[in-house]
Formats: sequence, structure tokens, C-alpha cells
Amino acid sequence: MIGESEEAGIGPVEWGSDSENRDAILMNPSWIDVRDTATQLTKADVKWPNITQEGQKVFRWAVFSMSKAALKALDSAGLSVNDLDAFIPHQANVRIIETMAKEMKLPDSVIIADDIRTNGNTSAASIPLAMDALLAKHPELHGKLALLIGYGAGLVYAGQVVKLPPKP
Amino acid sequence: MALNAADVLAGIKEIVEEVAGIPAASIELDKNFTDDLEVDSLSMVEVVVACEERFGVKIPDEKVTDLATVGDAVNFIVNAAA
Repeated sequence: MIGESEEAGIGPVEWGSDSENRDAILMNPSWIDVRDTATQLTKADVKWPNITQEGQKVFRWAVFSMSKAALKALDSAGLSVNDLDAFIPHQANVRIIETMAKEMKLPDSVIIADDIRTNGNTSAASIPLAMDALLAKHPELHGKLALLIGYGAGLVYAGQVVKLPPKP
Repeated sequence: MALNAADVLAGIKEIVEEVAGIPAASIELDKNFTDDLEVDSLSMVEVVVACEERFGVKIPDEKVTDLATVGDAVNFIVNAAA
């Protein structure tokens, strides 16, 4: 957990939202349209809202806009890709993760979290789970620098560099 | 800036080879990205973004589905840059 320290272990946050792409991932029909008739939702003729997404739009945004945001978070921490030990992005899709790493020109020395391959897209829990899995697989990363970036419907995002917790 | 169709084709060949690992020699104007070249929908996004950067044009997401063949992409880029 977090405690007092002489040394900074949590870097500045680079965050934002992109309302132009607000329809790229959405619930359809909107809950606003159905909530007042919620009692009818048990009837077979009423459609429950589903999550839908525009795959290509989301992929483009996730790879290319999020790479820029992640690099900005790195820059805000006063670091470059060469200072980094690990990259732990939201585990949405392995293609997004791999293409982001390529776009960001991460050196081979940066270990990339890929919990998506084991546990799939664990949604809002993906970064802590991926970090835990990464530390279990690579104990040498305890106390080292990791770049995190989370993003999702909105579209919204936040990224920062953290020092991974020391070995318990 | 006006672009020459032959130069755009050459650029697209390089990009598709780099992104999707398809030999440039097999990429021709009448080839369909999906059916002939097996460029999947996500690789297509990478191709599109690389084309935007290389040729200085904007290819909106809603236009990407209209770019069925390499020739469609060449025409779109040449017209967009004109």
C-alpha cells in the first residue's frame, strides 16, 4: 500500500476525455431511455441495453491516441522509454497492446504486461491484476519503474509512471 | 499537395508489407484488402493511419469500409490530397 517516502514513487497523471468519440463504446439503447420504464424490462418485448462498440474507431483511438498519452505521462515523470522497466496498459486486446508498444517504440528491455492472454479483458480491474501477474512472473521488477495507462468508454483515459512495490 | 498515383501505390505497398507482412510484389491495384491480401480489420486501421502520416491526408473511420481494394485507397488518397 501507499506510505510516506523520501522518494517519489507515483508520477504525475496524464488524463483526459475525448467526447468526440463518446459513441465509440456505448450502451444501446441508452439507460436514460429505458430507466423510467424499468418495470417493463421483464417483458419479452422490451430490449435490454447492450454494450456495443465501433471496433476500428476504438482500435485507432486506443493505439494511436493512447500511445501519445502514455508517452506524455512518461515525459511528465521526466523519463524516456529507455528508463522504463515495464509497461502495464489496460488489458483490452492483445493487438492493441502490441501495436501500442510498436508505436511507442518501446525497447525490447521493457517487459510488457500480457495478462489478457491468461485472464482476458478484466475491464476496470485489468491493470492491478496485470501488475500482480507481471510481478509474480518477473520478481526482478519489484521496485522498478512501470508505465500504466487505463482507458475506456467515454472515451476517457489516465496514465502515469509508478515505482512497482518492493518485494513483500 | 498533389500526389502521383504511382507514388501512392508504391507507398501503400511498403506500408502493407510492413504492417501485414504481405510481399509488396503481390500488392496490386485490383487486390481486395480483405479477400485477396487477408488484411484484417485492425491491421487495416494500422494501414490507414500509416497512409495518413505518409501522405498527409485524413481518412475518416467511416470511409475506411469504402476502401475495398488497393486501387480504392490510391484513388481516395490522390483525391484527398488534390
